[in-house]
Amino acid sequence: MNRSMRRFLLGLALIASLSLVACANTAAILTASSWPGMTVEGDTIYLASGQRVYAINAETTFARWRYPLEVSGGGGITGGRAFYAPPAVTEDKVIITDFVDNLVALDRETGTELWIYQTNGERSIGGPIIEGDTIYLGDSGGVLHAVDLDSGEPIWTFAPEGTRGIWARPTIEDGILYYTSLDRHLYAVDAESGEMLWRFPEGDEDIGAMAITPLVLDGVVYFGTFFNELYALDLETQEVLWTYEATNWVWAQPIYDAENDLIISGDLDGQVFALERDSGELVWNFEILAGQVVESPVLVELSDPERRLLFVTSGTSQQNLHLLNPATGEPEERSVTLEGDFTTSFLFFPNTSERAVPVYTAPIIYNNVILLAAHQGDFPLYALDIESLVEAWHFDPQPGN
Amino acid sequence: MWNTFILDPMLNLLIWMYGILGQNPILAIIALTLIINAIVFPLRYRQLSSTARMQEVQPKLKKLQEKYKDDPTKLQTEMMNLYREEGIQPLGGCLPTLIQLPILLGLYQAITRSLAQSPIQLLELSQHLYQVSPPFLPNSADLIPLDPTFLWLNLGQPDPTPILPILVVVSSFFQQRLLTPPSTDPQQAAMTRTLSIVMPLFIGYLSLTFPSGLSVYWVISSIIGTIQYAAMGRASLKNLFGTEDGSFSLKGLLGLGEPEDTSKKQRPKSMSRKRG
Repeated sequence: MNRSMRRFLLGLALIASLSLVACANTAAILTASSWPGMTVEGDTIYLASGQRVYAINAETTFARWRYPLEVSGGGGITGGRAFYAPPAVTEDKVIITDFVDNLVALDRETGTELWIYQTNGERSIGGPIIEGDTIYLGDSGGVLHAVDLDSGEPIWTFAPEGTRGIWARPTIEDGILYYTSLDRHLYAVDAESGEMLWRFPEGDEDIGAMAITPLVLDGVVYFGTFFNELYALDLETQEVLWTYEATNWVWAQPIYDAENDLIISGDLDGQVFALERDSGELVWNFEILAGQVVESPVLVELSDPERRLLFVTSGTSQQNLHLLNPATGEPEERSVTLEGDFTTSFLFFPNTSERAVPVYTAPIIYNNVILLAAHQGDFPLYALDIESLVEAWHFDPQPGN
Repeated sequence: MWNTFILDPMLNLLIWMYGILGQNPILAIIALTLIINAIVFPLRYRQLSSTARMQEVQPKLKKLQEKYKDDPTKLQTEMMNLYREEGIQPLGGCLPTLIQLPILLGLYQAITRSLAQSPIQLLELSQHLYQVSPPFLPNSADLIPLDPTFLWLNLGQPDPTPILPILVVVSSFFQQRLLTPPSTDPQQAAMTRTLSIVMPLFIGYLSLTFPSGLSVYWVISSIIGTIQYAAMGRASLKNLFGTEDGSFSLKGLLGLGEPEDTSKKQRPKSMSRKRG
């Protein structure tokens, strides 16, 4: 083999490898769309995960029902129905959204479809909230919808000029809806009439896009932006009380720790931070290496009354659950790596391996277990014993379970 | 390695273009496609030159094949001698094509990723943004998410009308027809005719389901490719209509007519090379 032929083959091998890597990356971006949404009401866990919504009996760990019964097409952005937003639950209904443009009311007992309202070709990513007899949701086209809970008929829609996608659920407080938009504004809208009361910022100031559910607390709204800032804004005057500059986008809804008077959130660099509520001064921060915090941390009171923990999911596939002292930010326990089964097939031969499960969704505490919704893997839901952090059970989505 | 050297530079370049060009996503895609095509132009030129030289020696090659049909070893030696005399590297046309492939794949990924339409895609995108930009360019992270709307299109989703898929089919059909010289071999001519219809239809079918930003890229790429090849003297109305003088023929356009023997007229002046 002469020299030029060797060089050619070497070049060919290099380019073939690069192309393969490129193709693999392409496949990855076409299949994933969002992380699961989870709600617990009574003894039932409502889990929107991929192509189905499950109502799981938290006591027996089996599904009461699943919706839809038949699935078709891919679950990603390119086709088929997929479900990611946390369901909203009433006494007799479960309200869900899919990744097409459907808002669906299901019978809470049976999972039977009651009505469908469509959001004109734009998907609802954040999902619905319910107040009284009205459902409120934003869509990816930037339209805020109010829909009658009983009939599924529209009550009003609101779409300001130049609107962009609404990717997070609104918050309602004293009859006013507060929501953030990719159009770089926070909006306050009258829930009754759908009229805009105000928006921030009002002028040309650019504060960055937002995809966060605001926290409203004692006349102040707290929200983060893709310009790496967390804002505290006075609801009466729309005056900025303080801002905190994080190291990356602030996507996780802040929570309030009343005991320590702290506002706690995280950013896409994996920084979890706690700020003084009144001043926005940093009290502590904790870095999750190679992690991304996109959902709220959760405060948990353990059986020992002295023991309070902050549970944070990081989205990374290693050390997917972190337990911190909410007062100091110190890790209380060593972080947990939840491992699960992953079945793949190569040339029609299935192969199952066990590895760490990526978890973005905020955990939910139910009785003595902590529920973790998995972004990938064979099982969409894991329950860990809250004291020992050992897996108590997992939910197998195969029919019959 | 892929992200560092190919995807991330293209992705950030696309976002900078978006910022510079009035936050217009179509103009950004056009600008990036132009830049990338300009970068791969020397490779395309080499590929085309090599193909042209190979076409030129085909008659001689055929004679050798007939002469040494019973002696493959001798045939191989004579073929290599011929290539050497003519200054041709037999695989010289493949390497530029292969080098272009990852670059074009990177361009494809940069367009699809920059038009993130879901939370996971946006999270993915955030990992590829440069934290620091040159002083004369906007900060990539500040421009995210890109506004994907242009006229009736959401560039992150398929075109709800058949307009873009039709443009994709038409532009790639014309590109193929303009650039592919008719073959003297009836079997090869039939295959070329089929390919020149099937390939554009296939790409058109893909554009029905892929983000319309990609369709825009395909259309622009076809137009740029045609212009580049025309500038090199390789695009010909004779190829398009299958007629000797390049006059309009619907049958020829659709590849329904008999192929004409144009082998003697296929050597464009720009591609001819003096034999030493």
